[in-house]
Amino acid sequence: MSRTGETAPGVTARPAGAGGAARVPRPAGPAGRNPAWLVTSLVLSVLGAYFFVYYVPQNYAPSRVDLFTEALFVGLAATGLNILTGFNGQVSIGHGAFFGLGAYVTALMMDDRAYVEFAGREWGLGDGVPFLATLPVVAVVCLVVGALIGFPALRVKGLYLALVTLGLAVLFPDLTKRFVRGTGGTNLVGLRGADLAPPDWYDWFPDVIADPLDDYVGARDQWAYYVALVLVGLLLLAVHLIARSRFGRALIAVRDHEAAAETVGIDLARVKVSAFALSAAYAGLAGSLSVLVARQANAGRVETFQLSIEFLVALVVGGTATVFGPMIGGFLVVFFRDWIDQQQRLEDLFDSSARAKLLSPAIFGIGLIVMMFFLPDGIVGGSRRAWRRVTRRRSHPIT
Amino acid sequence: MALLSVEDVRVEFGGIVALADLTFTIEAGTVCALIGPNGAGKTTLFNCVSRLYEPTSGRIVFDGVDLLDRPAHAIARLGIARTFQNLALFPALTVVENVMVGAHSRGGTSRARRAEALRILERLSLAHLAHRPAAGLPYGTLKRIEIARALAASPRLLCLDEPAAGLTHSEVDELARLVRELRDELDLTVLLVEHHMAMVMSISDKIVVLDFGSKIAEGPPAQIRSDPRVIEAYLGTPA
Ligand SMILES: Nc1ncnc2c1ncn2[C@@H]1O[C@H](COP(=O)(O)OP(=O)(O)OP(=O)(O)O)[C@@H](O)[C@H]1O
Ligand SMILES: [Mg+2]
Repeated sequence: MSRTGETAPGVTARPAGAGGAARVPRPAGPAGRNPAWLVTSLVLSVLGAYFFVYYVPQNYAPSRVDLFTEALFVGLAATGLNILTGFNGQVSIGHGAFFGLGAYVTALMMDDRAYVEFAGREWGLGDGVPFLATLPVVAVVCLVVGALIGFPALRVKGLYLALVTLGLAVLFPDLTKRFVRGTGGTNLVGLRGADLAPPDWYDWFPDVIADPLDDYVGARDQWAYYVALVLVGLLLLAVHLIARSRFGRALIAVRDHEAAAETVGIDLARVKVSAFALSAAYAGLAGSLSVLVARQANAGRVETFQLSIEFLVALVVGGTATVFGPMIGGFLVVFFRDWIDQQQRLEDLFDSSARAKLLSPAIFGIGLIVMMFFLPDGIVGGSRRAWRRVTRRRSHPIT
Repeated sequence: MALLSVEDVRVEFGGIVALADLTFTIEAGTVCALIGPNGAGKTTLFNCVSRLYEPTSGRIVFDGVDLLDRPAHAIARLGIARTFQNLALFPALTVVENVMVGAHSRGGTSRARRAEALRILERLSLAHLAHRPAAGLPYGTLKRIEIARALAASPRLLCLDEPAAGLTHSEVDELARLVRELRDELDLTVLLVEHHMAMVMSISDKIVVLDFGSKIAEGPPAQIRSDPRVIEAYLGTPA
């Protein structure tokens, strides 16, 4: 018997005879809908939920929990980049700047010592503002800045746009050095343990979540992880809804054929600027989350550029224009980087020369190329193809 | 009254005059064909109506509105939809999503939009392909999907740029029938660019003939068929 999603054209169009109701075409995904698939996905989601919601934060050491949080925020930034680059076709290699902007706004609002020196005045941006309260501010600031950068970006495309956004990543650290007065007058805004502690209401949660054995500051890693998990969940849901909305289809239409998109009534400027703004807000919120792990906001030239590339790598490896791809890519990038760093440390025990230090990025690069070679459409795209191949083979038994 | 009136429209590309002060009108409810040899300026006129090209001078008035005052993305809303000579679908979207994007300029919920898109696909015998990605479908099918996308805007004026190109004989006959039926069912006005003369002659109420950007003849099919200047433009020799 053939699957509903795979029935040959014409079959579905015939008048329904006995049992014909089962053949009504349904808006199913490529895999169609069948019990085996439903059960598999149900089991996987329950296991996944158990692992991410309970197992990771409750069983891993703080440094490992932090690594998961980092994977979440790198994935979140890549998810934001996906809105711009994956769905809308505007390549940015400057999203490290929006990420940094989010981190700075959050850190400056939380810290009572650091300030911004601008127009001859000192702007504190708040003292001891709770972390969660900084998030809406970061979202709005990054939406506005993203839109402001999106407007001039309307004039350039492709490689030129990539270069312009690269300029952002290069410029941003210099701007922070010029205007931010953080620890010791540098552009580093460091936070104290007490600033990063979970709010009081976090203790109201059942003990399995807010572990009473952890001391106040020690619970930071779990608190950070849970915040990241919830925020990522909400923002992934938003991407899912956007992807199937009128705006989401407009994003793809503009990417696929600008003239045709304009002809059906899509305002190119509006869609492109909105994509930029939304994408910047995602990256900014990812930057805010990074403050909980790094305990600081800091922007070095190399780091900002490296982050920008990492987001792009996570996006491409995970799968552009998919909902979960960039998040999966974020996990791969962060854990792969961590794994290489560990090899590096072992290496350093025997040979601490500068040569060994070069190993990490080199392995990273080679791994990427191999990956692109075997999975040009990313993890999600690749597994979709594999799934389709499996289901197709099964639906045409050899007779 | 004319639904569309093209008045002294001139388009130049560098030294090339693609449209040389072209003037003609289309009456509401009619099928008007725009024909002429390759490079005559037919697609250029479409692109002016779509506001993708900026004429150096002239006016294009649609139902009392000067199109040249409006940006490209405002044209669909006025009731003008088109297809492209070289396919211009959105390959990553499914067929039904392509048609839904066609209705971008109209209001309504996503659900209503989808139902309407499915209805149009049904009408064009494309319903069985609704949830397939547009990429990879046969050429003739893609051309029909483009028509479906254009219809989703509920246009009053439908502009078709070489819809029969690349179709088989039987497909062309079917297309001709479809265009006439759609005009009657949906109360459409059609601007048709086509090289397939049998189709043009059979469905047009009026034919405008272009050569090197200038109008060399205008009239009903019977008159155009025997016009010596048209024959000369097409055959390259005086009749
Ligand atoms: N964007 C452009 N830039 C430069 N020249 C152009 C452009 N678009 C059209 N032209 C020129 O304008 C003239 C008219 O082209 P157009 O595409 O309108 O012809 P057409 O009548 O549609 O021909 P065909 O039957 O081959 O489609 C041609 O000489 C073409 O080279
Ligand atoms: Mg043409």
